[in-house]
Amino acid sequence: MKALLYKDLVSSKSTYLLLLIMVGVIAGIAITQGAMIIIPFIFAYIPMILGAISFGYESQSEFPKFLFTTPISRTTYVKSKYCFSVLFGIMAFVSGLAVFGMEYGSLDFALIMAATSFAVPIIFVALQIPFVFEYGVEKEGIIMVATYAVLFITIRLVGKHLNRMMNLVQTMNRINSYLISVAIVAGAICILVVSIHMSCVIVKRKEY
Amino acid sequence: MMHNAIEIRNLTKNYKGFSLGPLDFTIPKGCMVGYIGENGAGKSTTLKAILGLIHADSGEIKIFGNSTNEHEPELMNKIGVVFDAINLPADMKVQEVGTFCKLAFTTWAENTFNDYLKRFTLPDDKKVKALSRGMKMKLSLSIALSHQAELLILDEATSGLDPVVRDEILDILLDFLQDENHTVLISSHILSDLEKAADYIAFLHNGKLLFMEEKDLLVERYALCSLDDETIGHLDPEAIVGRRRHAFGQDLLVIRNLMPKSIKLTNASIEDIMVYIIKGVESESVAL
Amino acid sequence: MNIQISNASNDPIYVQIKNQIKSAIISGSMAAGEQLPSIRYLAKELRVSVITTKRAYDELEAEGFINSVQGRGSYVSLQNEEFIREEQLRKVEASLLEAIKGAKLAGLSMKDLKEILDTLEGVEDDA
Repeated sequence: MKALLYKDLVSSKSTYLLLLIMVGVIAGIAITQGAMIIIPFIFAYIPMILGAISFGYESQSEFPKFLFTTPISRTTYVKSKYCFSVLFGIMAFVSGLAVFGMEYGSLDFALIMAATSFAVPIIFVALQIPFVFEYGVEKEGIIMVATYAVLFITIRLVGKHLNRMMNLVQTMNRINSYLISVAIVAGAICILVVSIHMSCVIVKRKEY
Repeated sequence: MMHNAIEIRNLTKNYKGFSLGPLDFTIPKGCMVGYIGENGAGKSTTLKAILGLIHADSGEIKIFGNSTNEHEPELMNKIGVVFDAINLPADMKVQEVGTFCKLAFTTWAENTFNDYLKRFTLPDDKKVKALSRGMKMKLSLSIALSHQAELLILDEATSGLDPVVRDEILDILLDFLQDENHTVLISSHILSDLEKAADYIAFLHNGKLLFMEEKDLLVERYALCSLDDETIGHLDPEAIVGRRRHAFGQDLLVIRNLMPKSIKLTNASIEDIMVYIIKGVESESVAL
Repeated sequence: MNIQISNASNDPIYVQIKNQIKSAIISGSMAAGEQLPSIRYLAKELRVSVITTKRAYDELEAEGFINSVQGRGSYVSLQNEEFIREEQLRKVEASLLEAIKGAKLAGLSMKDLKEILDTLEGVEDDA
């Protein structure tokens, strides 16, 4: 696993730098415009881009052919593709807690939004990766566009109904909001596990 | 203590328009086996099946006595593999490749790797994409030799390389074989490399194994001669394995001890044997 | 020790190696008890198959010229050096006696016989 993460980090330094700058710019705009809500959702879509980059140069060099002549197992390889989404999911959760907590002063609401921020990168990556393994990274473009479209629509919906949702949450019992948060996180993790399992089946079946 | 590096029983693999097998053969420890055959004969398919990169349709493969059905990734520590392309991300530097391998292989020997880099003059900070074909191959070989592998598998690793580099690589393979527990399986259609040092030759043609023999026995069994049609008419037909007809007579590959003593024979190279057997097989029945 | 093999020769390579080692032992340039190179080292240096060198060593051992110890290597036989030399000498004498007998039958003089010997030596050198 360490080997694969190391490889991902060193293989495309210029692209990562570009990404970092882009994110910094967007975050900067978000903060100055007062739309801090966007920040957790930035954490949501970065893993998808990182995943696409990783799959891209692997497919170009036929890297799995080399990889499976090392002691790294198919399972480890599959899991390494989900690492970034989990990492960014956690970062999204923490930042969501902070952002929504500060903006709206309500812990319950912040918790639920943080949980959602955690779930979004996880679920979107979980939906994409098995398809990329099965159909190759060339189709990744279509998959990514579809996911972004869904993400974009979701953000707008959430934005529109933010106040309504906040009121809804505030009328609920405090304990319920914890349950909802836990349910969202648990649901996301379940989807992640199922996705990992599916990807393992696909990768083990594949020929190089 | 098992004596065989690889055992293949009844291996088959079917693709659209081509099928490999059933293959049965054994690679004993401590020797160099040259796996020859024309392009498309199925050599790479066999090697990929051994390495678990493709799934066989039937049959069993054992490496070091253990069946590969229960595929243990740790086994790959003991197998060094060199393909004809390097399959590493183009933007990785040589040094970074070394670090990756250190993290990937449990038996990685960093000093050995660095020694090979020096020996091949591969600069640490050069990116994979900036390496020439020969240097890429040397990097692959450096990796394969730096994790205490006991079995080296090379798949068309030397195609596209100049004879000087190929000679260097042959030296390294022979060094590798100084340890009698080490084995080399090399598939190539550049047969001059194998002429010199291979112990066995396995010949694959259209997905079937025509033979696997001690190279010395092949050289002793077959010979070439150049004769006119009339003389050929008097020969035992069993003696002729393959022929090339030309405007002024025929070139034949023959079985030495079925030939009359009076006829002058010259030694046949592995390449001659391969080419004439294929010619012979295509147009008429073969006496092997 | 010098060993030169020729691909053009009619003798298989293992025979060439065997004969050259044999003559080195008989002539004394390889001493009794001296260690021979390992079959793998020899194979690598001569660029031949390990099976070839092993076959040469196996036959040398069968003929009593060398001893191989598992895990230690191969050594020129201790006690047989002189004996082998004498054996070869006896074989040569017997062949020459046959030649003299045959020459007398063919009506050849000793001078004729010596001329033939010289001619044949030339042929042997070419081989």
